[in-house]
Amino acid sequence: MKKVLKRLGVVMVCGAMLTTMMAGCGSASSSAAGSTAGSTAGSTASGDREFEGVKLVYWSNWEATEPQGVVITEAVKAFEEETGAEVDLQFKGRKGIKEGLIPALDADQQVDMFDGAQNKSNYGDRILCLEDLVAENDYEKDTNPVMMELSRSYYEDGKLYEIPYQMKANGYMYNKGLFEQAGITEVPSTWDEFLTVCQTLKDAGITPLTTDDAYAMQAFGMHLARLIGDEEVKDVVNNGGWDRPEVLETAQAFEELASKGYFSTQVGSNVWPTGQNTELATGKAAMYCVGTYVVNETKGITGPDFQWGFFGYPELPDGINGLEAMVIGNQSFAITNKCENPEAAFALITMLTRGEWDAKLSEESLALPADINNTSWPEQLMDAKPYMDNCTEIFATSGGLENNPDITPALKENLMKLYAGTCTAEEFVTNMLAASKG
Amino acid sequence: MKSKKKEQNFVGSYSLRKELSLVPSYLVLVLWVGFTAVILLWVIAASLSTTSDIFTGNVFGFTSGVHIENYARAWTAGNVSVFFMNSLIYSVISCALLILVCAPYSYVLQRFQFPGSKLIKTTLAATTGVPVIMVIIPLYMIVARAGLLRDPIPNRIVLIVLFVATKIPYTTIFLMAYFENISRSYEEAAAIDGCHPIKTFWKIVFPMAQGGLITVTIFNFVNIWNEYFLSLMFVNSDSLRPVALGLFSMINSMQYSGDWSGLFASVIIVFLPTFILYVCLSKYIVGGLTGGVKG
Amino acid sequence: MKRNRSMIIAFAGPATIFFLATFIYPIFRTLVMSFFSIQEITDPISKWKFNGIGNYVSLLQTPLYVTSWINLFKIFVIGGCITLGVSLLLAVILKSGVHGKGFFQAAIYLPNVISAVAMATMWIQYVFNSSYGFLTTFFRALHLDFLANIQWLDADHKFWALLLSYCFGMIGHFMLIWVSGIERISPDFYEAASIDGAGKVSQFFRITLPLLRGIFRTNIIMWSISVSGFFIWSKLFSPISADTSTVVPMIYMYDKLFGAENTGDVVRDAGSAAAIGVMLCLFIVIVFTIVNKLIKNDDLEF
Repeated sequence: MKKVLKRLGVVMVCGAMLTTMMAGCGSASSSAAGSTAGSTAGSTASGDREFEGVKLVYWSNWEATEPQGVVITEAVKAFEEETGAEVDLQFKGRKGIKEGLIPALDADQQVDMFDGAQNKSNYGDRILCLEDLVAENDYEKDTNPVMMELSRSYYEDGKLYEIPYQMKANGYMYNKGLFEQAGITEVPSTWDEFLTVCQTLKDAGITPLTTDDAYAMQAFGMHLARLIGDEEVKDVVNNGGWDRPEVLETAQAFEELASKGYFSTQVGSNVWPTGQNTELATGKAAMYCVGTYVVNETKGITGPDFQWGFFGYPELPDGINGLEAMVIGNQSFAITNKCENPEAAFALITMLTRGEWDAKLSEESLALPADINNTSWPEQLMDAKPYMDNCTEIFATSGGLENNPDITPALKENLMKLYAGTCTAEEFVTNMLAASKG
Repeated sequence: MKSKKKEQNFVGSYSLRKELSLVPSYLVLVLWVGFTAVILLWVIAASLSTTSDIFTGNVFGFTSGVHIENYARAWTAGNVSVFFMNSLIYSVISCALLILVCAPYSYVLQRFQFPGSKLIKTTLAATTGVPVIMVIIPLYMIVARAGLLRDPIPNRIVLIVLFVATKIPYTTIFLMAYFENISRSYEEAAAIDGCHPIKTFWKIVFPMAQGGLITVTIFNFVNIWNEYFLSLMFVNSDSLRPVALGLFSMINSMQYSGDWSGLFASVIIVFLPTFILYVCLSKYIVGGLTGGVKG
Repeated sequence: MKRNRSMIIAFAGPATIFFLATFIYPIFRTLVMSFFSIQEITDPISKWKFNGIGNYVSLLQTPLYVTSWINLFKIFVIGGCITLGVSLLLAVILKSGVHGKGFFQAAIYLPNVISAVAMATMWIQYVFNSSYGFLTTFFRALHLDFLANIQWLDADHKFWALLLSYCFGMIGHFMLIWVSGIERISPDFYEAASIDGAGKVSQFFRITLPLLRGIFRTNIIMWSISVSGFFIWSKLFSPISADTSTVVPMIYMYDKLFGAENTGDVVRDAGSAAAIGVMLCLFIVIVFTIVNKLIKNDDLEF
């Protein structure tokens, strides 16, 4: 089990310019040298059709009918007209990319670029280092520096192999209508305030919290990461450190939430998407610790009038980090080593992650834009913007709690019991200790 | 035909007493089918309602009317008519080839002991246990590197060959049981008459296994029609895509974008052809042996 | 005999070659891979590192993997009894001379034709839902509150919910196999038995069961094949990440092969995945051998 060591440490300064120095990491981007890749193909510059005769094969992990798929199709058409390149866009779906792309590349199928979930380090030398292209095109200045740092942190050499887009932030998504109804005017930023909010909601006859099994790790993981940081959380799940006092403390916090009746009565039987769809989206429960993607996933139920709110995971009195540390994720683009025209592929990526098309992607799919100049966020996600703008430390998914897939199932089961009030904090710790022993 | 007549007489003479003794049977069947009907109706109703109705438990209410447009949305998943045609070609040819290959194969495996026959049987069983992914990806590497996926005709042939090859173990094991239950006396009689065993098989034994052949064809057809992974790997052009690939990607996209009523509509569209085929073929199963064997 | 030999060669030769050509290389490759440390299933042999039985040892020391086999055995044994038993019962009922046999048969088989995604969603969102679901509403109407209040999808009941819904679908499939087997039995037998005064039950045990021996054996093998490939239902009952009560070896293998969701660091381990494949394959071979030993391959005359 070799682990790619992540440098998910603190990245304070916004102007982290150290990265521009990292030239010359890949052998690949030299193959089509000489073309005018430096120009901004993504903008409205037309006329010169700089990629006339270039053919690109682009595998997408979206489906053609998803909002992202629809926008990408349009953008690719515009790109073809503008640059004269010919793009073979194939929607392979998440499954197709996850299962099919590496075999296809290894069987010498032509695929120039693709998109998919963040962290493509498992592709190894099948994808190109993008530092040169990013530097040549002065690309970096318009992406949130923390995101760029995160994208680099996946690779052992600390270089950039993927371009982030479709950002998502995790925290408490809540129903503003229900908050108003209970007379709550301010979102909680500390644990005590959070407890008060729960009690106020409950007094108003509103179920404060719910979750689904699939997302059960997020709240607990964030809580524990507030106490010990995400690297230590990973250590707990990987090395069975469930007897640490912070684990018990976290479990007790949730035991308290459960015993005070803050969780929905059916939370124990919520199999995704039951909780988010039948409780959160229908207005039966007020808060749900999850990612901003839930807005897109439930839009068929909430309708356009639902008032979404977002607040970061509350700060704890004895925590070692605060609201500046949060879970942020993204999708990303990468260029394969089969690509003969990385400049053209990069120009298409630039077009999709900058300006007009980035804004359109964000708007249609209710995700966060990649371009920091795109300030018109989808209204439903507006609340997440200040948190993201002030974020200086990015936690791993669920604060690192999902880092060990061998332990996640047992964890999920016991967390759901903890939330449902059918197991105590002590029992939780005992069960987890038992589950992690070989 | 003789035996069928007998059965009818038999049923006729004991009619009333028989019907009474069948009451518990009817009860079981009606309850079972009733439950099936409720859940199927739920699926159909869900495909005609809205996502928010589904998740508030109001599927049968149709409070916001009937939403046919869910089907329109599902139907736009690209070139559905081409996909349908492709699926039909792949499924029908593969099912026919499977019967032609596996019926004689399972017959000789069941009837005769020959060097290696035991080993072959065990290997057949073993291969069904190997996860499909472990079989398909290595094959894909060979086929793709050989350049067989570049032109449409070889690509189609590769697909059909793979559909057939991957179903051989299942179909053969399945059919062996049917040949086992067919008496050898027919073949012995034919052999005395001087009939060549190959001819005996096709003329006499093959028709007697009709029930099993049709049953396994239904299973194969449903499987190939709904096949996803193999076509995902091996089909690189829209014009060759089977319907399952198109509509399953529709189902996936609707799941991710939370369009659950559209998902159920796609499901019904994928389901209908196999359902219609099943209804047509099930008539023959009911006919079964009694209709199939002459003399 | 000579003519038989020519037939055996003609019938078995091409099929065997065709079948071996597709399967032997992948299977052999999988077997060899299971003794190496490999990241990607497509990695060239130069990247493989010999690991002896290391993959097997570390798998068997992982509690989750052991759990996945326990779940598989529970599905195999309990689910097998339910599925094969109920499907045989339904098949016998169908053949007992009820009217509308074709209709009932088609209706019972129907759930098989529908995509598993839809069926599982229907069970989870409708039948098992604990606020407005079918079971809750149904039992409440009967005033059986202790049954109505069961949370079918919580950690204690989820496995049984999964098993129940899976079996419900599979019963139609196996019923069809039984029916087509019973069709093979000549009605003359039953007629003769009825004249001798044998009741329905004794007819079942004296005629139907013995004559269905071959089908019975095949059904057990088919069941073990379906169970060993158990994947999509488990995936739908615990989407995104696996679940202790529903995890099965295929799920575990999939996560090894393609990396589990949400872990951050994507760890792929094709060597262990191959080892799981080999163990699943052994499972089928063992069931096949035992069943063939227990239920003798007599040549039945009728």
